[in-house]
Amino acid sequence: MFLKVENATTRFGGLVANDNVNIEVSKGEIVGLIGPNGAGKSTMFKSINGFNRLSSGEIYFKNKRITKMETYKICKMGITCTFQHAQLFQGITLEESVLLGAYNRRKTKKEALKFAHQMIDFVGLSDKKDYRVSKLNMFERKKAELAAAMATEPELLLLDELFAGLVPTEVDSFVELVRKVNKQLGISILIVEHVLKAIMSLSNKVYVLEYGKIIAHGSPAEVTTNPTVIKAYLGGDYDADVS
Amino acid sequence: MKGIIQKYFSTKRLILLIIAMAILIFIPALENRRLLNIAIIALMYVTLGESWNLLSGMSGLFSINHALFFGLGTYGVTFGLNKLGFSVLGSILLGLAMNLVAATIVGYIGTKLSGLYFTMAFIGLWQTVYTFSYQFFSITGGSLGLSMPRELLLSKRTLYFIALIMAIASMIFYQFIRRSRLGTNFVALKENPDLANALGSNIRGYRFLSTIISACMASFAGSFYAFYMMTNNPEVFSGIISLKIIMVVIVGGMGHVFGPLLGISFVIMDELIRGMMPSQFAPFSVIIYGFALIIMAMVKPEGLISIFKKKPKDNGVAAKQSKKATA
Ligand SMILES: Nc1ncnc2c1ncn2[C@@H]1O[C@H](COP(=O)(O)OP(=O)(O)O)[C@@H](O)[C@H]1O
Ligand SMILES: [Mg+2]
Repeated sequence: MFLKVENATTRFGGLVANDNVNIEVSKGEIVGLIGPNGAGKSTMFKSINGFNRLSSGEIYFKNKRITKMETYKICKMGITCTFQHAQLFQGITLEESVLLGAYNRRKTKKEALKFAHQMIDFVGLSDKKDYRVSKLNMFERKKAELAAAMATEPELLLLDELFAGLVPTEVDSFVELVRKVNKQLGISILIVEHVLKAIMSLSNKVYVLEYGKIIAHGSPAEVTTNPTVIKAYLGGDYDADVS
Repeated sequence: MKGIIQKYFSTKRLILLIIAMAILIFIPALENRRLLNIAIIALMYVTLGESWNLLSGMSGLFSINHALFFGLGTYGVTFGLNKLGFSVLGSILLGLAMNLVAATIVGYIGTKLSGLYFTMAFIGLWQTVYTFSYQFFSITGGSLGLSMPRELLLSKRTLYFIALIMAIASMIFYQFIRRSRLGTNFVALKENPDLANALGSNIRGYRFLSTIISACMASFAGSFYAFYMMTNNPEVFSGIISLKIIMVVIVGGMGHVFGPLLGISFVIMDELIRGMMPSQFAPFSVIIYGFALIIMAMVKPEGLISIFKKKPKDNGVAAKQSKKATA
């Protein structure tokens, strides 16, 4: 199995943010994770990435147990995440931000810089590479964040609400970009998103979280017609929304 | 070589640098002892400033008692020469070794836990060493100090040039680190440690490394000071030195290679004022530092360096843009 989350439970004091969650991602797939605010999606991502410690359960990546591994080592293994609240490195240039990611698998500055330029080019920000991150707009900043994550050469990308704060046309072009990351570079993706139309069109498989529990999973079509999901989360008239 | 220079310094900077060097080489020719002493101390603070700048300005770890590393460099030399019969090189290495131990302790505690613990570990170790330096007379010489062999007495002019070379070397070293793989990781650590970690940067390792490199730089300055004083004195660990090191960088501009160079204007001013004041007022100089810091924080929060930048948050970009536009 490529990524396997097994009975993952995370407690914050009395609050159970993730309750017996099971998630599987196969190589090459795009898998969506949806659910209302506070459902525990970001918590799940942080656990996979080693920022949180699971209260119980296990996480395996490429058949290796990564449950208690440190974040940077998980990145070295091939999982990189983007953060929900995009910060990047405000005080340095876009180029150097991506360069940091490129150092993950490249020793010399020359090699790393070359790869960083490729990734900046991939997201279409070559003309902005000398800009400080603080000078970029939201759209550019999100792309920069994606470029930095891709520069680490991951096998699996975790994207946490990467489209938040973008206008619909920007979302559309970002969806294409994410598809390109998956198809051209062969990077598997686990994605949390509020823009349901985007996630349904991208994903091979969708998991629905509510109050920390997985209440349904399957293909986008299966999930959107699942009565539990419609009742509990999406609301009765959701079907019209997707098509 | 030319390529390297061009990579690290722009032409304008290079010209400024050459002018500065000419003045600096001219100073000893004035044959003014007091001026020379001030110049030596000021240059030493460039090295100390770059050391602090690397740890706090570049890597974002606030070192509150940097005199700890400085003082250990001094004691390594005096103790090595006076008590152990080491050679000059051996005693400088002893200072470095003691600093490695200190930096390992501070770095270990500081990287295991959060930033606050880094500062607390610093204060704890510093207080221990400071007290030790006063109390254990047989080892440290107490407040009388351990004197250095007379034959090692260097002329002020020689000391001046050593201080000058050290200052320049530390600036080049700082900039070299900043441009390297280490520098990118250090800055990322300061800007957003969680993200750096997620992008594969071993943040604890880099925190540790930054502490060690910074301590070694300060150690050299401390060892130099032993040759300047020809003795040791527990006051090399004093909070006033720590405060001055911090001020040199903050006044000049944190996280910038020229910050400490501009910041020593404060040290020079301080030395000149103290030269004019009756000695019993000397302790009050701390009040002046305090005021200077408050005024700086209000008027030029980014340090004197901001005078030289048109848009401090956008350096380089705007200039490159206008160049492209005219081309
Ligand atoms: N570090 C934390 N400490 C305490 N509670 C937390 C922490 N992180 C998240 N939570 C809580 O866990 C729940 C799930 O949060 P989160 O995973 O961010 O939800 P989502 O990303 O699905 O909106 C929320 O109720 C949140 O307040
Ligand atoms: Mg979230």
